[in-house]
Amino acid sequence: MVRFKNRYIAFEITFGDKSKKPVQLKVTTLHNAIQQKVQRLYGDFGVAAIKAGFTAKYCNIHTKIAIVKCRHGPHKFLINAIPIINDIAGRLVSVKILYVGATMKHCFLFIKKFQQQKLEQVWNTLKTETERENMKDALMTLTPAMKDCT
Amino acid sequence: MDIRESTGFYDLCVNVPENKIQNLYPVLSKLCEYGFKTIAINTDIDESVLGTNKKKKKKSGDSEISQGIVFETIDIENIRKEFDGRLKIFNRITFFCSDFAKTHILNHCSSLKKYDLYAFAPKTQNALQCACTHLNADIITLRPNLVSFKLNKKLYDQAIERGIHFEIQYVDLLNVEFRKTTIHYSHLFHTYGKSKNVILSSGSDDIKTIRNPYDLINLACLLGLNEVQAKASILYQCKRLLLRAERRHRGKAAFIIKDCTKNRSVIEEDSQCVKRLKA
Repeated sequence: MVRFKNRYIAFEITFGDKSKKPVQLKVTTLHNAIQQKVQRLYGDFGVAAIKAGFTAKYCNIHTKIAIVKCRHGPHKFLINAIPIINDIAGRLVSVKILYVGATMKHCFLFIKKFQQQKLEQVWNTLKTETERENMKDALMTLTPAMKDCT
Repeated sequence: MDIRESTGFYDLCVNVPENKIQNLYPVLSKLCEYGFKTIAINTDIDESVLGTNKKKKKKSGDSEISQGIVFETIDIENIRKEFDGRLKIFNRITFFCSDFAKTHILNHCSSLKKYDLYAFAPKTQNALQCACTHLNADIITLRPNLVSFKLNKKLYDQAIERGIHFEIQYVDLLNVEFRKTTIHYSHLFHTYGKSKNVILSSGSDDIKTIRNPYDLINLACLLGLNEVQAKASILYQCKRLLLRAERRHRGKAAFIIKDCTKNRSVIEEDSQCVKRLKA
């Protein structure tokens, strides 16, 4: 039995510009941004190669972490293209790949760990108990899709 | 009709430019110059040709009417004479269809028997599914200008098991609009079935869009074929396809027996020499 190998790429987006516009991060805009970058780097062939099974799976606005799925093989194009994305829907961004996994579950497990670490870093700087609770809520809340997998 | 032997590089889809046979000659001589040995001249048939007949069919006996449908066929006998010894020429029909029921009407057509190759171009996902599972065609060709298709492994395997070949036309790769979809489809063949039974043909009607067979082999690595498959896609795979088409025609498996008497006489001479030496 031959199965299709997939790769899930988890990455973090940091917004570069200082403007305090509310951050709009949608699955479709992310999808388009990546596709444009691959088009610039690899041309028509690259876009055609990643087309099969390429979807932006998950997008968290609070933590600014997103996951995209693609087939094993063309995922190499994505790994090269994602770090040099500097523009998502007109906003200046810098993107850092956190993890490349073979299942959604492992990606989410990694993200959980990653968020835990982040929380520990800021824990001491916060004074009151309510501030700490708020921070914990902001960082550790998972979308329903994520909860199913973990 | 005899089974005609075929050799060399194959280009199993050449369209007639503007439906004028005169324009076909330069294209064919160019193909010949590039080293193609066997080509197939294509005729496109849309389902609308049969659609008008469907109403009549209800009124009178079905098989008689459907047998009477005659669509424009190109007289290839003259072309065959012209290129005798240089090119082996077959004729092929491509049937564009969205409704699978129409294929039954076509199957009853007497003029279908005139064609050596029968290609099916589905217009809907449903037609593609039916074609993969039970249509008695030789080639399934996915045209990128129609709706986007979804393949899956099961469908692809079923088609392969029944000996249907999938076609990639490289004229689509030269077109900016369709390039992405064509590469996408050919990658689907690669992911679902390791590009079994894939053939590469030109599908061109213009002298400018014809390419050298060795360039095509190199081009094929873009389409997810490896080196062996790339060569096979314009050589052995096409040969197998033609034999299969012959089988569809006659309902029997076809193979070619070559006359080897020349070889035997050499051996006999040899043995006679040995006898003489012994004496």
